[in-house]
Amino acid sequence: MAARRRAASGAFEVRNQALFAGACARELDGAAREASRDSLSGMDYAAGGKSSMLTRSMNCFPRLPRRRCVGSLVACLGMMMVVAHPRAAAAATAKIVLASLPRLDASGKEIAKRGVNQEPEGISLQDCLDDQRIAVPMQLAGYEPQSGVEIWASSRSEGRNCTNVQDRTGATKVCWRVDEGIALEPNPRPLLRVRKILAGLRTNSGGSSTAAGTPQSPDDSVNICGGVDLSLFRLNVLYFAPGSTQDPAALAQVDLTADTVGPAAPSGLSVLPGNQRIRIAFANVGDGGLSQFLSVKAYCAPAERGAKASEAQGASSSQCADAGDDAGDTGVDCTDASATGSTSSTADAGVATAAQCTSSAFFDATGKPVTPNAEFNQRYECGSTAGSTVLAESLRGSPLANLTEYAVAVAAVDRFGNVGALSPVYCETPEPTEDFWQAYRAAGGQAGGGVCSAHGAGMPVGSLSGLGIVAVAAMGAAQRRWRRRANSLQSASSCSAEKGSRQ
Amino acid sequence: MIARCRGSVVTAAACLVVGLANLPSTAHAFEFGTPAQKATRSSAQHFAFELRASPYRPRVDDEPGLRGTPFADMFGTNPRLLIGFEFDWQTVRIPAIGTLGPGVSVGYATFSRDSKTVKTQRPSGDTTSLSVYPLSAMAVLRADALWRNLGVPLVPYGKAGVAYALWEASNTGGVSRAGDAASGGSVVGSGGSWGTNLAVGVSFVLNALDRSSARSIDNAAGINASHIFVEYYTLRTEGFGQAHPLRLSDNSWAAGLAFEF
Repeated sequence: MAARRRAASGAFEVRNQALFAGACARELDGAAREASRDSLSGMDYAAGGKSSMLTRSMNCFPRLPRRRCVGSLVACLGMMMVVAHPRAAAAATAKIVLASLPRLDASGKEIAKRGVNQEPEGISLQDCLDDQRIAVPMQLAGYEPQSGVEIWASSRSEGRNCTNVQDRTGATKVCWRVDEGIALEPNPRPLLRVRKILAGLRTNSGGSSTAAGTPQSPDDSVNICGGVDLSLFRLNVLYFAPGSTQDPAALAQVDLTADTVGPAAPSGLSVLPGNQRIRIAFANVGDGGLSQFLSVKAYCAPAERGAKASEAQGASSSQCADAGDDAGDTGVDCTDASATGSTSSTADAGVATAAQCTSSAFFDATGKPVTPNAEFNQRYECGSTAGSTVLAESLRGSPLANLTEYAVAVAAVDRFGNVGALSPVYCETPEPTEDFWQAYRAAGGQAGGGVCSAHGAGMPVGSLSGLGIVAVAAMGAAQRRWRRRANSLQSASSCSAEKGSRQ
Repeated sequence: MIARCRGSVVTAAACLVVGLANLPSTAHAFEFGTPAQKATRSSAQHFAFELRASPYRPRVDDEPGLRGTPFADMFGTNPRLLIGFEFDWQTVRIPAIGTLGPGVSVGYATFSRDSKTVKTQRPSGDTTSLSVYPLSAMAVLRADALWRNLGVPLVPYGKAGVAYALWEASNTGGVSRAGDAASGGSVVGSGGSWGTNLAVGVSFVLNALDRSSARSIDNAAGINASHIFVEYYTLRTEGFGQAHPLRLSDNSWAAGLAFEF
């Protein structure tokens, strides 16, 4: 759980390392040590490359004339400066410049991300189903012709940066390639398919029963959607110098969070009718964990009874004994206990109730409950809540119809916007409920019409307001007048007292 | 002037206030506010603040022409809690009597219950409620001479003024609406009812229990006196000239805490 929380909160991280600079520094350090040893031992040492040149120059003193030796030393120092110069050392760098990576749809059109409280940089089930792309704007500096840039994904928990060739190509590789060719230019902007990013880290059996979805056998088909539970990915941008395909010369990294599995279905449901609405209460949001729980959506669809209900839920569901054909039997649902005085429909899935009605809208062709997606939400969502009670009030912009039986279910939504599994389906019929105001008016009550209506003829509003203003003004004036009088009396008495003392 | 003031109660009240402001020079017998007193080391006193609670059950069903008792049928006959606060400006100190000044009060009470379905009388997920917000503007006379002059820690007081009770009937879906046969439309369940508010009560001055602490509070916060009080009030919101008010009147008692500062 803690790891899930960390992964969810670790929104974005960019790292940039210049491996080439580090390698050169190591080489120089080794060369210096070698030169020092050789010069001390006085051994003749022949070797190629930069270090051997340095070695030669250091060893030349006992053998060559001073003039040649000085010349060689100058050449050697010049070489060292070239090697050690920071720009030359960091000959190639790749840098990911944006804190927020643009998101594009399958056709390449830039799209808006989710809200800030819904992991806008993360990858959700719907992102995967929509086959979205993530643009990774970069700055390349000091690159050479014939060099190459590749992007490899890895699980952040593996702690690998894919610079080791064994991590990319070995039998136990932990990285999988996600780019489809990156142009060598100062500001490349490769588009990465989210499915390719998820392809090597299936953590959940959902989405597909295939074994694919590992670094050895990446699965970038739609089957990977729903197969990645909350996970943290690292994109490693590798720069390869010309002729090198083994060790990258530069590395840049960015982390991404993905979750394509919604929370478990809420349980402990209680369903009650209302006036053009249905109240659904639930006790638990399931084992998805409250840290990931964002809200609960309610879904409504016209209820189906009898054979249709049986087809929709497969052989396990029982048919509604009450076909609902009785005239006026509009308030009775299949789990309804109105006849027995029960207060609500509270049967859970798997609990054999007298009967259960449902809707085929909530099940796929195989009788398996539907996992809600954007299209399903648009068609059947009828309410949502961040609390523990949801009011199903509006279906496709219209209030629920009284005296019409609806099948209802709820599903939890996580911070990625993933809608989890549907709860068991219940049926309920909205109908008019008691209302004091309607009872009062029906009994002949005449009040009401809004506060503004109180300002009708005969209302003393104006005169009362005037009275208030006059009262406050009069009191203020009187207080000032009294104070002036008190002050004048006080000064008069002090004057007479002063006069008396003089006399 | 008196003849002109006979027009209405409202005008008479206005004249009374204006007349008070034009008192002859003998008015120096009155003091505006209560100045600081060196002898008792107490700070000046100009205001009072009350927190109050009372049982409340409006007489909605007393409306003339109403058939049956829709309010009692829906919410029962037990009173609910009315809570509120009051702020007084103790404008005038009348020697040997006490303070007189205007005050305003705001209260809140709600009546609510779970609804049943109309047809099948099943429990439903809806609620129905009536919320009442009584507002008052009144003159307040506090006879604190007993306490100030004789040391008896009891302060009788009286209040009289106008009241305006805002109210709203609502259900789970928001403000209730009901069909209106006359207009063919619907009538929204909210409004306001005018009326009067009268109250008499007595407060016990808590300063008498611990005078040194009371003095410390006065020095630190400027609170001259703390009281607990009990009062009987009659709230009559039957229109005050209004055509169709919701009857939110009640006679009840209230208790609470008061602070003078």
